[in-house]
Parts: sequence; C-alpha cells; structure tokens
Amino acid sequence: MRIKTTLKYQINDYMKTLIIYYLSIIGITIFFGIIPVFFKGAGYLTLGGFEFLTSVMLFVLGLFSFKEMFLMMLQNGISRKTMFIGRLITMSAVSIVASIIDRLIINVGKIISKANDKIVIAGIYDMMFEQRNQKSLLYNLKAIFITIFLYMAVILFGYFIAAIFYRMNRAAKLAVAVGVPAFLLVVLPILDYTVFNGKVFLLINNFLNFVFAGDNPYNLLITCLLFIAAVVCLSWVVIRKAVDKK
Amino acid sequence: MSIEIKDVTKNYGTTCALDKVSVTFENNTIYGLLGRNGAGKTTLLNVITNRIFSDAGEVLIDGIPARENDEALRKVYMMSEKNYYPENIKIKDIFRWTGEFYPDFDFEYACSLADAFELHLNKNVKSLSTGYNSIFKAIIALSVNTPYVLLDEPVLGLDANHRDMFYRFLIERYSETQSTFVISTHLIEEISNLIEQIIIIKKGKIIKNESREELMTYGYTVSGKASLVDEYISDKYVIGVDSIGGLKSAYVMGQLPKEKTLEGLEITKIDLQKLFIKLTDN
Repeated sequence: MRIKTTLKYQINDYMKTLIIYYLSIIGITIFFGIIPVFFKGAGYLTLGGFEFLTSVMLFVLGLFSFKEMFLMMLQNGISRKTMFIGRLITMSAVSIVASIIDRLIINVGKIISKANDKIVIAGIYDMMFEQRNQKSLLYNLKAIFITIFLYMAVILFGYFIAAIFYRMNRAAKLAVAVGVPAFLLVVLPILDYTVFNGKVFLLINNFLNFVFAGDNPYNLLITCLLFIAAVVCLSWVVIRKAVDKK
Repeated sequence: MSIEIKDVTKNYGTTCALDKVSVTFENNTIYGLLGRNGAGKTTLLNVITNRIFSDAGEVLIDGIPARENDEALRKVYMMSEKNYYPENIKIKDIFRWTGEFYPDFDFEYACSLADAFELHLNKNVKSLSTGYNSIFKAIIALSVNTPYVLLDEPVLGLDANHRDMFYRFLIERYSETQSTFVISTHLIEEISNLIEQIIIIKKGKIIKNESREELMTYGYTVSGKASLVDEYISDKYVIGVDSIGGLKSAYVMGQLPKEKTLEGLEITKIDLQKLFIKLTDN
C-alpha cells in the first residue's frame, strides 16, 4: 500500500483549511476580546461555542473533500482501500489537532475572562458538562479526549454524505436533497402529532438530553463511538464500489 | 512484463461496452488503440487503471492482479481526456505531487517540457485552455517513467505545432526508456508512423490486434491518371477513392501486387485511416 504518500497528500490538503480556520477564530477572539477594554459599558461580552464552530467547519471539510480527493487518488493509481484508510487516519489526526487547539484557545480565554470580568470566554463542553475543577490537567485531557471523538463523528458524517451523493445519479441526489429535509421538517412533525401523539419528538428529546445535557460526558463519548463505527462501515460499503463517473 | 487483459466484460445498463476482451500489451512497444466513438477504448483503459470495475474477467500488470492493488497500479500512468486533478492547484504543485506518487517522475524533464510548450508552471489547472489542459497532462505522462503509459486522446485541443512537438517528445522518450505507450486517438493519420502495434476495437470487441506492417498488407493504394486507375480497379474491392484534377487514388483491399508499377500506375501502402474506416464501418 502507498499509504505514506496518500497520507502526506491528504493531510496537506486538510491543513490549509485548518490554518485558515484557526487564524480566523484567533483573530475574531482577539478582536471581540478587546472591545470591552476600550468600550466600558454596563454589560459584558460572552464568547463561546468554539467546539460548535469547529464541528461545523469539520462537517463542511468532510463534505467537500470527497470527490476531488477521490479523483486525484484514482489519477495517481491509489486503490480505494488505501485512500479510505488514509482518509480515516487523516480525519483522526485533524480531530486530535483541532481538539487540542480548541482547548488551548478556551483556556487562554478563561485567563482573559479572569483578568477582565466584562468578558466571558468558555467552551461548550465546559458549559454542558462540568463547571468545577476546570483548571485541572485531568479535566482538560478528558475534554480533549471526548472532543476528539465528537469531531471525528462530525467530519466522518460529512465525508459519508459526500460519498453517498457521489454515488447517486442526478435524480436520486435531488430526491434525497429535497426528501430528507421535507421528511424531517414537515412529514415527521405531522406524523408525530397525528399518529404518534408526540412520542417521536419526546424520544429524540430524551436522547439529546442523554447525550448532551447530562452530567456524564461519557454518554456523548459512547454515542460518538457507536456513530463512528456505524459511519465507517457504511462509508466503506459506499466507497469500495465507487467508480470514476467522468 | 506485460499488461494482460483476460476476458474482461463491462456493461453499462443494457449497453455492452466491453465484451470478453482479451488482449496483451507487451513491454517496450507503442500501441495504437483505435476505435470509433463509443467503441470501448476509454472503458478498457479505465478498467486497466482500476478507475472502473469490470463485470467479469481480470487485468494483470506484470502478473499481479490490478484490481484494488497499489503495487500493480503504481506501474501504470493514465493520461485521460478529462481532468482528474484538483482545479485550484498550480501546475508545479501537480508536478511535485506526481513525484510523490510516482518516485521515478522526472521533475527536471517535466519543467523542460513545460518550457518548450510555454506552459506557465504557476498557473492553476482551471485557468488553462483545452489545449494546455492536454499539454500539462501529456507532460506528466512523458515524464512519469512508469513501465506503462496509457494516453487517452493525448492531443485533444492541441494545435498542429504542439501536436508535432508532442509526437517528437514521445518518440524521444520511447527511445530513452523501456516504457510501453498505448495511444488511444481518432487522429489515425498522425500516429500511423508512430505506432508499432495496432489494436482495433469495435462495439466492445477486439477485431484486430496486429503489427502496423501486417495490417498494411490488408490492402494498397493505386494512384495515377483517373482513366487508368478506373480501369485497374474495375474488378477490385475498392474501399475509397480520392480524386484531384485528372489524378486519382484508389484504396484497394487485397494483397499488394508484386510489381510496384502497373502500366503508369503507382502502387503504395494503404492509407491506415481508410483501412480503419473500412474495418470499423457498420
């Protein structure tokens, strides 16, 4: 297998996006972080949601990285197996890097928050799960560890959707692009209200509470691990038969 | 050392693109893969390079199955009519990455070819014209130094000067390396002096796989005064005629007569394109 070269190319491809993203995030944080220093009002400024922003970025990255990479690998005689293994390793590496950088930004933000009580900078993980002992190394390592799997789940999902769309013909793409949102936003609420007496949304709500709103971040970890395992298997089923459509 | 294609079949819905195709591309030979539009040329090349999967049969590259096999696939480079490279990447970066994927890629030679073709290395793929899109891929194909180089419509959009340059560089490269080149093109006349072995594919089947010399014995050309040519061909199987003023050239199927001059007529080798048209005509 020519995994080393494949990895080198794929990581290089992702790194450009990561650098641009984090330069933007750091720039935005610095810009909004200094506003309260110069404009002293009665209110205070809250900056947060770094993990959410990164998740969106990684989802989009996964979504837009399939077709171009697939064709480039085919052009250079790389098998689907090698490109898929390379992709999994690259996604893992990107998730680890993003998770560490996010935690660093959040911790620097906490120092700024402490120095100026008009600014509150915090991460979603901190707000959701644990409010205490946030300074400890163990806490930060745990946060990084769990966020890695959240990011992997998100980027893999984007990749999986892109792979499925690549395999579909135009009619199927249109049907899914319209059908899935229509089902989730229109049909399911109507069915839930008329047929299931609200049990479907109650179930979804309970699931989301189990994953995100509980005191235990390991619920999120287990959910991500199961999701990753399922998406990896499904992605391989889709990719192993993917062909040049040019 | 060869690419062996064994009973490869590929269907697209109800259309049979390749029908139990068996052919071998031997080492250090220039092949012409000829066929009409939709005959199955690109499909065959795509199956060899693992870009699409065949429904049946197998491809062996130097004895190794090519399907999903990195070791076999690294021995083949395919230049396609369509672009597979990212559009926002500079040509020099494509050269650099090709060197990573194919360690024998000659970067210096590629740069010298780019210079000869006046291709700017700092340009992005998407900013290239159709001709230069072919040129950058042709440069890679000529510099990649893999044992097998497959060229699918390599001169698409190239002007006459660039086509001539490409053929000269191809011959130069062929003489320097031990590579096998497979050229799929519709410009038969232009490559007729280049190719050694001709494979003609028709409706997914290989109908001819012979050396150029052998194929040329299928017929001959008779040229001379129109009245003399008409008289000569009256009992012959003629596949085409060209007339200019009082002169005429007729393309005749059958063995070349032993005497080269027949009563004021000139006998020469058959025009490959005319023969191709005859062989692939419905």
